[in-house]
Amino acid sequence: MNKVLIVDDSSTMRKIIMRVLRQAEIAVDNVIEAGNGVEGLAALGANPDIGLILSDVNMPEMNGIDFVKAIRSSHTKEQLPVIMVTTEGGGAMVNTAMELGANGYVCKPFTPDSIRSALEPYVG
Amino acid sequence: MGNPIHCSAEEMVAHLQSAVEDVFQTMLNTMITLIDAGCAEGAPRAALPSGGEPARVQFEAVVPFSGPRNGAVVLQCTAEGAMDIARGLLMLEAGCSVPLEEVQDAIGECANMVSGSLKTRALDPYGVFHLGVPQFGTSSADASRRSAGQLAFRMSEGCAAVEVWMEESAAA
Ligand SMILES: [Mg+2]
Repeated sequence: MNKVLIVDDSSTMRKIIMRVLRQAEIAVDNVIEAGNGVEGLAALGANPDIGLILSDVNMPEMNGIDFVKAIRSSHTKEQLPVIMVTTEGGGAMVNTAMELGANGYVCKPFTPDSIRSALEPYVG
Repeated sequence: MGNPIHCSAEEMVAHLQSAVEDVFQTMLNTMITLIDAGCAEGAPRAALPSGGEPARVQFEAVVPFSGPRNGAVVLQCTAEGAMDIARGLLMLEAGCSVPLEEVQDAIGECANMVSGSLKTRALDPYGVFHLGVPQFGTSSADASRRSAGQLAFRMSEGCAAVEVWMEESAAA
């Protein structure tokens, strides 16, 4: 039931996140990948049953801030949780993402535990 | 001196070391051995020795930043160093080969994480800075930029160096 969308411009980071989801024993049926916000919105359009999004902030084409803004025009925080996974821990970008409706954030570099605690409220 | 960044060269190098160690220990499960650390005036030092000779830089990722002062974080690796980083991030066994495209992506993401960690430590306290996306093969030899600190280190098979560049402040 948990279809997860991972949006990051680095294929390495998408692989790391998928590995951490497995290690953390987070029950995910299906993972969909996207390389930026534009691809993320297209993936969401094609897969309306996506139940959780993990998104990078700093990406070409459409960054994570504009991506969250676009999602919140159609889905509430309760309908579709979005967790930012970002290098910009204390920066203005994270605050902006949270104000625009991100549900939480994890800073890179991260431990499997930090991903697990950020996702726990949203996965079964 | 009117400089909007008050972080000294020594502090910058210390922040750089903390940022690199944070990323390499947490994400690559790799301990680094320092070869060289310092602040070189002017041109970047080719600080990647292998044996007695300077090693060739085979991979380079540049993460630009903008804000009260513009600059970039440059990660350079030998071919072996790049493989160390790619295998570390992807958790692959030693000796396992990684396609060139994936090595390049891993170097970019490593540079991105080091830049973010460094930004939190050394830049955010002095103003609002923004990181760009990693660029590849972009020579850092820009006359308007000066080295603000660099660190060279060895991993299991190869070497890497990270250098911070800053543009000259317009008026001091
Ligand atoms: Mg990114």
